[in-house]
Amino acid sequence: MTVSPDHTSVPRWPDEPPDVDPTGSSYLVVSTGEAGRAVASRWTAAIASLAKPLWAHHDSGESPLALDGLSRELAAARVGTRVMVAAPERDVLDTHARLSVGDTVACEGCHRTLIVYHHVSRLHGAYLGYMVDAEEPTT
Amino acid sequence: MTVAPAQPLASSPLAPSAAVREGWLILRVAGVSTAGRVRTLRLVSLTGDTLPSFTPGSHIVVEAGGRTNAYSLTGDFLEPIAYEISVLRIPDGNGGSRWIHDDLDVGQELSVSPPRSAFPPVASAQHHVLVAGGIGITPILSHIRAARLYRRSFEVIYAHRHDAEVPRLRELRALCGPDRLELAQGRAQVTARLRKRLAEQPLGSVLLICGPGPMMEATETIATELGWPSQRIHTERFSTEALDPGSPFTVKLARSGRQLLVPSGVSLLEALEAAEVPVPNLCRRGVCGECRVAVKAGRPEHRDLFLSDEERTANDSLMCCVSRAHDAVLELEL
Repeated sequence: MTVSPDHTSVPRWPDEPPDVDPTGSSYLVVSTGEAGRAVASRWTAAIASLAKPLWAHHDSGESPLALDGLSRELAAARVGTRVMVAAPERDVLDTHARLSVGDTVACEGCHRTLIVYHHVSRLHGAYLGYMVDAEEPTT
Repeated sequence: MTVAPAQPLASSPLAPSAAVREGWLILRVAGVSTAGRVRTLRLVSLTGDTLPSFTPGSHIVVEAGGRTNAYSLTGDFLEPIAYEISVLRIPDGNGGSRWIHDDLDVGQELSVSPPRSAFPPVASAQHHVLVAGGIGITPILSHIRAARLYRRSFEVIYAHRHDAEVPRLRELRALCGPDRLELAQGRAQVTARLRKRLAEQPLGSVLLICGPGPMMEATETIATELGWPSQRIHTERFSTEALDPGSPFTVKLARSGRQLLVPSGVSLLEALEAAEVPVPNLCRRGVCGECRVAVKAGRPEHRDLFLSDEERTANDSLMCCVSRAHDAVLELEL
C-alpha cells in the first residue's frame, strides 16, 4: 500500500488490544483462533474482577464463526453492554463483505466498477470501495 | 432552547431589521400564541416562499429588541412555509425574551440567522430516547417530527415542574400517541422513570437530552451509572454558568508572528478583537461553535459546551469566546 501515513484517511487500527472499559453494565466476549483466545482470556479475567455479568464464546477460527449464540445475546442485550471481539480484523470485515481489499466488484446501483479499499464505513462496519477506472474514457 | 448571551453583540443594531447580517433572513411574524409563560411565534418569509430546510434539533439566532438569543425550531423541517419557535419568558434575563413577549406583534419583521444544527438526530440509531425538561421540549419537537416522517423508533420522557404549565403538551400528545410519551412530575418521579427506562433500551439506542442544567446532569449521571457510553448521550444546553475571570496568558499568532497578552477577566475573543484579528462569532458563551480556532501549540483550558470529549482531549482547537490556556503560551493558527 503506497499511501502517506501522515496524510491518509485510511483508519489506523490499534496495535494493542484495548483494555476492558470498566463502566459497562455487562459484557459479551467473542474470540477466534489462538491469538484471539489469549486476548479474550485477559479480558474475561478483568471482567471477572469487576464482578459484572459476562457471556463469552470462543471458536477455533478454522470453520466459519458460529454466531447463533451471539445473535441471541445481542437481541436481548441492553445499552450498557460492551461487546468485545478478538479476531483478525480482515477476517471479520472480509467475511462481512465476502470480498477482500483489492478485489473489484460492480456497484449494484450504477454498475460502475469499484475496488475494495482499506477505508471502512463506520455506519456499516464494512470496507468502502471507489470507482477504479474513473480516469478511463467511457466506451 | 433559550440561549441568552451574556452580553449583546457589539455589532447588534438596536433597530430591528435596520441592517441585515450577511446571510441572515428577514422574516415576518405571521402568528403569536401565548400559554402561561411561553409564547410561540410563527415566522414566514416576506415573499411567501418556503424557508430553508433544517436538520431536526437546529436553532435560529433571533435579534430581539437589540439582543441576540438562540431558539430551537419546533416545526416542520423540510422546506417549511414557516419557522416556529417557543420562547419562555425569563423575567431577569437579558431582555430578549421580555421583548418578544411584551413588544412583538403579528406583522412585525425580525432578523434571524439561518438554522444552525448542533443537536442532530443519529441516523444509524436503532432507537431514540428523547428526554426533555420544561422549555427544553422545543428541539425535541422537531426530533419527533423527523422520527415520525422517517419511521424511526423513539420515545419521549418529558419532565416538568408541579406548578408550571407544560409547554406544547397537546401537540406533543398528538405527535407521540399514547405509547411513546411519558410525563414525569417533580424530581423523584423523573429520577424513577429515567432509572427504569434507561436500563431497558436495546443496543443501538441513543439518548438526547434538553432541559435545565441540573436535570440534564442528573439524567447523564443515571445513564452513566447504567453503563451508557458517553458517545451515545447527546445534550443541548441552555446556557453556561458565569465563568471565573481566569489567569492571564500569552497568545502567539502563527501566521503573523504577533503576540498578545490576554489579561484575567478578558476573553481570548475580546483580546483578538482588540488587536483587530477578526474571528467569526455569535453566541459568545461557548454554545454555538462559531468561534472555533485551531490550536498549534499549548494546552487549551476548555470551558465551552460545544466540543465533544474527543475534540477536547485532541487539544487542537478551542472556542475562543470562553476558553483559555493551561500553559503560559498558546499558539493559534491565526
